[in-house]
Amino acid sequence: MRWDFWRRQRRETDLDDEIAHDLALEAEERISSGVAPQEAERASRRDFGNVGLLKEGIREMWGWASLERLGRDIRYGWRSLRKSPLFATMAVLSLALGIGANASIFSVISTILLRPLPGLERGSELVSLNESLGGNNSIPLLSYPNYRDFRDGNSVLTGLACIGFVPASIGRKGDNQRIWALTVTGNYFELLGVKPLAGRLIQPEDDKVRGGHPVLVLTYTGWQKRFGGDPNIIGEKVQVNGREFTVLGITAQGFVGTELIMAPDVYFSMAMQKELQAGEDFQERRSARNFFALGRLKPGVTMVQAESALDGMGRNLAREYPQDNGGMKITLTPPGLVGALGRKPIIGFVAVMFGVSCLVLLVACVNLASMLLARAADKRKETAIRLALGAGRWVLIRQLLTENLMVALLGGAGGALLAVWIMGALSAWRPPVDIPLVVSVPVDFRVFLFALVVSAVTALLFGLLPALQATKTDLVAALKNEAATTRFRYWHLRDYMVAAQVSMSVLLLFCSVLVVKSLQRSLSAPVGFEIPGLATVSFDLNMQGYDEPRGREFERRVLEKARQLPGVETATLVDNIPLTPTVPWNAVYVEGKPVPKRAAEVPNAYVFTASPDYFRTMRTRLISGREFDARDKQGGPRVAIVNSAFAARLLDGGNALGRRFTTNTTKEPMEIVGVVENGKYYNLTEQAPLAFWTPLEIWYKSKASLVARTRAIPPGSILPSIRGLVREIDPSIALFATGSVEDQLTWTFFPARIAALSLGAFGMLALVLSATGIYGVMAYAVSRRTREIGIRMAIGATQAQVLASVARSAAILIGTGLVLGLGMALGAGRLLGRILFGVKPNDPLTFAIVFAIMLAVGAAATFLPARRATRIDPMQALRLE
Amino acid sequence: MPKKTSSESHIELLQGTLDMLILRTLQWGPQHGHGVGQAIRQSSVDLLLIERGSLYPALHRLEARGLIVSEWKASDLNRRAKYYRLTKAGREQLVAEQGKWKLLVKAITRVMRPA
Repeated sequence: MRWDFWRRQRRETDLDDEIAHDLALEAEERISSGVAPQEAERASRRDFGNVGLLKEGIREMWGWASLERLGRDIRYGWRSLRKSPLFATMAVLSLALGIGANASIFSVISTILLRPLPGLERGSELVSLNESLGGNNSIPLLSYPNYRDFRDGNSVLTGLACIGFVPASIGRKGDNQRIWALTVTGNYFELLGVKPLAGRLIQPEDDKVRGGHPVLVLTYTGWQKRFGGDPNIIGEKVQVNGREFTVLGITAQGFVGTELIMAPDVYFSMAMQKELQAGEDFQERRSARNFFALGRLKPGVTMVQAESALDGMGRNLAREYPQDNGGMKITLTPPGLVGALGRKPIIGFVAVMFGVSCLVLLVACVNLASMLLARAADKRKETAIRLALGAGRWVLIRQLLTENLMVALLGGAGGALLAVWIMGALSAWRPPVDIPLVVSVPVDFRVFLFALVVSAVTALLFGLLPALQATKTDLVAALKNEAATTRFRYWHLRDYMVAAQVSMSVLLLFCSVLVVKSLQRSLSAPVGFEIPGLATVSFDLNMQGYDEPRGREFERRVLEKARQLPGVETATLVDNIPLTPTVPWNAVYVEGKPVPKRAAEVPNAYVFTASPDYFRTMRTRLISGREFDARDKQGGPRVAIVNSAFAARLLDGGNALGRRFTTNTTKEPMEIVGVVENGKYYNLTEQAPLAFWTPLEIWYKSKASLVARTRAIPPGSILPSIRGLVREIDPSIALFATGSVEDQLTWTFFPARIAALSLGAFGMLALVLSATGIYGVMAYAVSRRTREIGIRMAIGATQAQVLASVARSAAILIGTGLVLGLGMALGAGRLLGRILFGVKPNDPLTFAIVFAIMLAVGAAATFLPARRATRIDPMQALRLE
Repeated sequence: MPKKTSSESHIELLQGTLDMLILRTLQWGPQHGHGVGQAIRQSSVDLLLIERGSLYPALHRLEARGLIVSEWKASDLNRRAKYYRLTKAGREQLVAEQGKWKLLVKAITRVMRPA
């Protein structure tokens, strides 16, 4: 390269010398024919023609031209950008914001949809089996006996593994922690192709004898988190729920399980399921739909083929066991998003976000295009001069495009940086949930590629038009400064751009205000209990080795002491706090009604097990009957309290008190002693679900949450005394999920909040972008009209008149945009109507809000340039040109 | 000798013929750019006036194609000048071009023959 450079220099001087030689000879000839020396030189130069053009033509032949031209264009572009830093900053910033938002969304899409799960062999072959019995509770769970039938009877999968989800307390002696773990069948790791980092993983031999394989496998993060990466852990015996388990090995780094929402720390053998789940054996009950199934497609078998084969098996199983499997339908989905359950809403949400972010990018691009147009018009005179001096049109277009490309690439780089930052923040963030989520969203090269493509296309698409327009100038008019006064009144391309931009911003703003309002409504909809002012701690006595009598004693004493704490109004125990992910439901059979033939027709109701004072503590209104009280003692009559939806739908609205129902037809039914108001128990979108409560004294639960309503003090401040009283009773008890109930429910409100937050952010972004767009174009328009305004003021126009004239043109642009945008919003609102809660899609208040915001932003963006217009000094304005 | 010549007495060069004229001129020995221009003009009796804007690019183009080579030498007036010289490939090219040219002239003459 260096050598080339010298050779190039040499060539340049050679060419100069050669031309000089020619000129000298020419001049000499003229002199010898009697022309004066000075005159001769001038004449030869004139005769010679354009030296620069000649050199240019010759340089082209050296083959260096394109590279050199590029360098020159870049230098020129850089200089011209530095000359207008405001334009450059605004253009780069708006693109960076648009591209950053897009690249972030794209990273999320790439993580959850495009990229196979990390650490798995040929992840694209893996499928998640979803069993649905029709009805509302369609979740990707199936029973172990059904799993066994699918595993042994199919010919489309190379293997099918079964996964259960269990909480466990694990650690070295005296240092227990409650964690979520997976119980897996012996073929799990082999099927996924997961390799051990050290030791060995669970194998089919570890899943032979029920209860006979007290072994566990740690994931890399589990090993780091729970055992500090101790290299001697393999072969060691650790405590699991008070029992000794041997550590077999550690999985390779990067393996995070097969569900994005659940990164387990520990794997157990399925053989130990009963021991890990408080002695409840789910492996022989066809009605216990407690397991996930994950299979690998045989080579050459497509997901559709496998699905129809497995669905056929499902229909046979439904015929064979109508009671448990009636109406069974099997679908296959890629693993990672809790099968079909999470996949649909997540894809839906991501699709909406992607659409919105694309719209934002479009706004940013239109913004850039209108700025480029204004700038191109600004450089009209320069362009005209260069064209007049003989510059080729293509050369000018190339230079303009280079400049735009530079802006776009800078914007793309800024956007990529922004995306990296957002993703970093997202990955570092740990939602306050009891479940170990995988929220690592790494930025991969595709995101950069995406940003690069988007920015390049932006530059070419939105830069070409202004470039073409700029070079199509009528030279004479441009050089004479005439167009400035004659052309402005007509609509220019950039005016359409501003109108388009305003209308798109209105659309975005309208949709985000609508969705945010709807989310607020759904968040403030009654949940059937009063969330603020409640403190809670949870414990699981089984894991501390308690048996039932000791557990009952412990629970009684905790409740008794908690009620006496100063600052506590009421306290109660409940197995699950409503709206947390572990709330269970159960089938309900009402006495005196026929038992449905198909499993799918059996109604389900959420079931809670609670101590006396539960409803008083939660502030759930009692409609009739009584609350649980001292009458509900161990061994006492089986009673239950139901919600009014239960009474209305299952008991036909008649008097519910005294009616009886059961959850298991072989067991004694329970009598309804009270009816309470409706609420939400699992998620916020459910509509009046059924629920019932049973007394904890009668149905003992080893896992329970103490809930205390505080009087006049924040719930958090009571926690130390609650912890203290538990420690007094048994210092070895591990408490979890401690805090205010409000904090515990963060997860429930999280999707709605994140949706509101991101949509709100996009709406703001669109607003900022269109404000800069309006400002840019209006500022430009004023600078173009300097002469005209000068003349007007010189012949007696008042400042108010000038202001009005500037504001009028802005008002026309913004008004047109507003009308168009609101029209589009009306259409979009109809589309959004389905997902809105408690807000009409044509909500007039929302229209008014958006209208007001847009008008305010437009007025602000117009005000500065308009004020500048009134300050124009007529003398100076006229002299300037 | 620069002479005032009216535009009517000039002939526009046919596309592609300038290269042939340059090669032909260099057949008589090495020459610098100005000399080539003058030689063409003189041998055409001032009918062909070669623009420098065409001449120099043509010279460089021929050099890039390897038909001529250049060398800096002292000129008759003891000035440093860039002399162009025909290469073997250039000679062959000239022969080929000449053949084609003769054929072209013959063809055009036939077509344009007075009826």
